[in-house]
Amino acid sequence: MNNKLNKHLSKLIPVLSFSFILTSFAIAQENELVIEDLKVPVSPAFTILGVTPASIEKPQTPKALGVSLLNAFNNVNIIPGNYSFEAAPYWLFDHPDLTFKDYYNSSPGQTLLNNLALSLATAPLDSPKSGTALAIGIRTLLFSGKANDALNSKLNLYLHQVYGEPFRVDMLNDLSSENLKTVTDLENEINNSVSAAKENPVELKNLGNSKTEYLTNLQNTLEEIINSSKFRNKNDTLSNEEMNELIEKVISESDIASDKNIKSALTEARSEDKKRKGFSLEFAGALSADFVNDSTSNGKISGIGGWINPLFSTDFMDFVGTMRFLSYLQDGITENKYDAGVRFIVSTDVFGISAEALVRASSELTPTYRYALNIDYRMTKNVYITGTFGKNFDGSPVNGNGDLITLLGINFGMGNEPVIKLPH
Amino acid sequence: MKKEVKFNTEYEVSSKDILLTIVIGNGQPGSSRVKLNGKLIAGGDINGLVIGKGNEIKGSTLKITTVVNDFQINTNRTSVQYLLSGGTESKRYYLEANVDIDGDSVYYFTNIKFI
Repeated sequence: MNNKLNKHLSKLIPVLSFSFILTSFAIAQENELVIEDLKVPVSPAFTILGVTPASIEKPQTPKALGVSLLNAFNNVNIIPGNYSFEAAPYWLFDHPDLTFKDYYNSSPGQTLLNNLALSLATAPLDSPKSGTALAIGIRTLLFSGKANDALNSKLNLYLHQVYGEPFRVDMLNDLSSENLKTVTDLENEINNSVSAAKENPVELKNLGNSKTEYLTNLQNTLEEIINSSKFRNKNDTLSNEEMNELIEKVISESDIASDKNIKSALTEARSEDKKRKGFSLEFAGALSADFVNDSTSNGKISGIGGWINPLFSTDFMDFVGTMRFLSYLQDGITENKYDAGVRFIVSTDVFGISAEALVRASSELTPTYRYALNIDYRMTKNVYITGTFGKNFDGSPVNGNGDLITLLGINFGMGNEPVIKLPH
Repeated sequence: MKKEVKFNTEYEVSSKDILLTIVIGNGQPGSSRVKLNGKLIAGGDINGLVIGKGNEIKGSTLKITTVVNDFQINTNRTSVQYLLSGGTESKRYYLEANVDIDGDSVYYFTNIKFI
């Protein structure tokens, strides 16, 4: 493997040198608009104000929301100078009839409600003005894509851990009511319960084909806990206190192991949930106002923003669209900025190609475009040849007055992520 | 930390079939295990489960264990509704609890005595 890598590297030293020459170009590009900059912001209120709050209040009930707002706006004449919160309005309220299945198969309307997020932020006005700027933002999804095979698999692993819990806790709680005298009695009781569950078609039927595997894993875990106890080698009858101590150990350590398994599976399922396939549509809006001298009578709209991101994704292809509109109103002057971009990506395990185009315009500038074609080829697990060709925005010269983009180099798994789909 | 909710109640039967439905709400996943007089009669999703004729199960106790896990990032609330019908009147028992830590589970232990 090392020889193979060395062989590749020796051939690519000239290319590598070339890529170093182009480092200055890459640095020059860092300050320019890229398609990621146009994505729907997590908290549009913070974005339009240009603030990054150190602490954000995240109330989870209407009462907590009310307390937070009351504490912040404790004086009707004073707007708090540095306050921010994010809240998901739909989840502030109880939804007793919303099952997990309904949630997971939501209509567009329900998806919109599920993902609705509000943000609010305040910040002091820039000097020499005195007062406070306040912004409110809203963000949601209209379509959320659909689960792919990997997500279904991770979700099933997680759900099976959850579905097994009623049996596990019932079985362990029942141990205390049995007349157990020895460690062997305890082991036999557990083994009998597990065997009976395997035979009973009613037990754990929502685990499907995973039922036997779940029960075997549970049995092994309980056996390990018993083996680690100080009573393991005691063949005599245990006192009631000793047996209770042993059962408590089995229950508490099994709870810890189960909690760990569930949370691990939950983390993986949530992570995979972010990589849904099909069509998704996310959008956001924000509005800001300046309150000079913290007076509501001086309040004036100072900014409006809108973002929209359509995305279509399959196993080998992604289409990403981004649109952003920002309008700032300062001292009677309005400045409008429009940005839009599209990116099309096709990738396999060894080869990836992406094409992107961006357009930006403002109330003062005529539209200018950036388009680029990027090609990645994977040589080894972490080494890629990457090339980018295209045209930059007008007035964004790389060298001299040119707007041509050309970049060829080697990526050692650091820096920008390659387009290539990495095998799991 | 395991959070437990315990609930005991009585339900007045008639001569009709007694039906049980369990709704786990707030978009959270969970599962139930239902025992009548110590014998397992159902598990998993419970929807319109026939417990038995009212006059035949009078005096019996239904023991239900429901476990709900906090899947939702935006809320820590979990809830369970136990809906009983077929008795002298339909009843809805509503239990709820918030988990303290994201991803925790709540264990609901319910006993219903048929009178």
